[in-house]
Amino acid sequence: MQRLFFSILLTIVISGCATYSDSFKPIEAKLAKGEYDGALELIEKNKGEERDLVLYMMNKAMVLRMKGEFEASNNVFEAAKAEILRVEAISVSEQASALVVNDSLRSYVGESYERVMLHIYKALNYLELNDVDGARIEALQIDELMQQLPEDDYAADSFSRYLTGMIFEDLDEEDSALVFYRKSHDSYIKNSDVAVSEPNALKADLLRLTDALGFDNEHDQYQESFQKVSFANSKQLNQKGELVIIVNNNLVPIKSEHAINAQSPQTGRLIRISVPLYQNKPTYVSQIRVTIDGKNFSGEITEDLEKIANYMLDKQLPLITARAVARAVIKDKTAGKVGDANPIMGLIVNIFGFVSERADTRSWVTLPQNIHLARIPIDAGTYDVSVELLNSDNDVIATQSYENVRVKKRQKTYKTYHWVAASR
Amino acid sequence: MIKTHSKIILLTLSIFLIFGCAGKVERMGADEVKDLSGKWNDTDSRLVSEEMVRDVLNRPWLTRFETKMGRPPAVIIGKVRNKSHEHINVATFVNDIEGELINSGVVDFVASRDERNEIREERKDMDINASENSRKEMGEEMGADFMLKGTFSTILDTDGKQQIRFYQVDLNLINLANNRKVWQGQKKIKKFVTKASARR
Repeated sequence: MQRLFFSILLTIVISGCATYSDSFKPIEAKLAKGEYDGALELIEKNKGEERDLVLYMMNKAMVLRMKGEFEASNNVFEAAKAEILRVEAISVSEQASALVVNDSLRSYVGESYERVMLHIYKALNYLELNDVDGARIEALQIDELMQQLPEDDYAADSFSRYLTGMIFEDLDEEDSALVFYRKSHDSYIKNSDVAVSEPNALKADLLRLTDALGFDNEHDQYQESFQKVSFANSKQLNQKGELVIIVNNNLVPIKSEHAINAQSPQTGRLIRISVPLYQNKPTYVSQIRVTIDGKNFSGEITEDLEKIANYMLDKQLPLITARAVARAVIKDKTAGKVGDANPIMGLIVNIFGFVSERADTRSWVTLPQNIHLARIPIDAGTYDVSVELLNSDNDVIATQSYENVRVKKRQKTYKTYHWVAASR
Repeated sequence: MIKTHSKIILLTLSIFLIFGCAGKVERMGADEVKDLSGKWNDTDSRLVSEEMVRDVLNRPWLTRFETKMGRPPAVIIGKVRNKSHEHINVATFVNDIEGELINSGVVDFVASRDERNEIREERKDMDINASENSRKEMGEEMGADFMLKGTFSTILDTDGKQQIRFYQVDLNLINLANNRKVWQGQKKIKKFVTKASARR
């Protein structure tokens, strides 16, 4: 019994008392100030245990891309992919200790939508580096991953399908592009409770490609259901290039711990059940305004990750709660058994079991709250571009400028900007 | 005592069971090779490049060109596109092919665009700095007769933990004078992968 006591003690010492999400506040503050090197240093310092390695890598890669180091970011993303595969294969043994002590002792492999977002950001890195073939590989990997995910998971399907379509169209593979635009369209409609409303840019893509590829019936159907959406035909567009502006707005909410503490009236022992919940944030950015040569263009929200995160946690909460209850029963029984032999030891085991019950508040915290996208067809040339983030009163709350952006004919040029609000 | 022993045995056994199912790759219809993840690896690269080179050197375009022109054909490597699911290192594969072809001695190889620019710089430098008899003239470069281009593609068929990974490498040799394809090489590799997945 003494051994058990020590092993529980040891686990508490190892896991510490702060939950994962607590350590993120200072990193968020650095990101809000644009101090990426400082943020990277803190991420390195808070690397955590081996079981948090995937999280560490995803956060590091995300900050590297905020800093504009796309190649370095992709190397870390690729390492994260390999680590996820490795952990998935060998992580049975740790499940037992997670059941006995707490959920955050499990190795983190990412929620399904986080794993898809990993590929999306890797693809966006390639696109910024003008390596469309590299982005195409990520798009195919998203498709492969989607096929393996449970049907009722929403893994940012709508936007990932949309981006895949854009990648194929950039490579002149119009038939494949149409397949993925259709999938994206279906997903925006089917998942209307968790996805945002279908962007008009996607509707225009569907109209344009069904027109260009001669799917007349389908084209007419889209015309009918997308009232008032105008589109430029392929011939016109092929004379131009395209500027794609993606704004990652702020950060997804962080999970916090919600615990129920109770004392058993019969035995007097303490019981604790704790589960994670999201602390949602206000949305500061309502829309974006892109200005090129004095002309303004607007964007659309293509995915709301705050909504997805909440949706997925709600779905898992019954299982998480069941595990927490099962844990409470095991801990209580152990304390009872120890207490029968030695009441003081029993009390200690009970207290440690109580204190070690912590919710698993880990998540990929450097993902954005939502994603704005502006697609701007424009003649080939070099431009100075300014991206303004507007609040609900149309006031500018942040500006990002790009100088000498080169747009080539029949090619898409991608620029992504990640804005992080000062936490309050 | 006996109870503890049997517990330990049970524990060890279960650990073996847990770790025992950590992945299996069976290669279909190829030589004895060690595969780890089922992904494209050095062996695939070598096997495909060797077979491609053997094929390209045993086709009529080569003798036809030699009898007509009285010299070996000059080949340049164009873009080999990766349209697969994996970030394959195409450069290694291309280097394998180039190496095999050069060493075969029956084809001449022209340096690639990047390499050419570097050499031209050197020649420019020689023009100013090298002695008369060691200086190399400009405008003496050999133009390529054929360009080798190609694609990597994959088809994946996954069912739960099992997966068939099908790789196809297509290479084309194109006559630079008239755009005619004089050779097409295709090599397929099929792997059956059983994935390890202990979670969920």
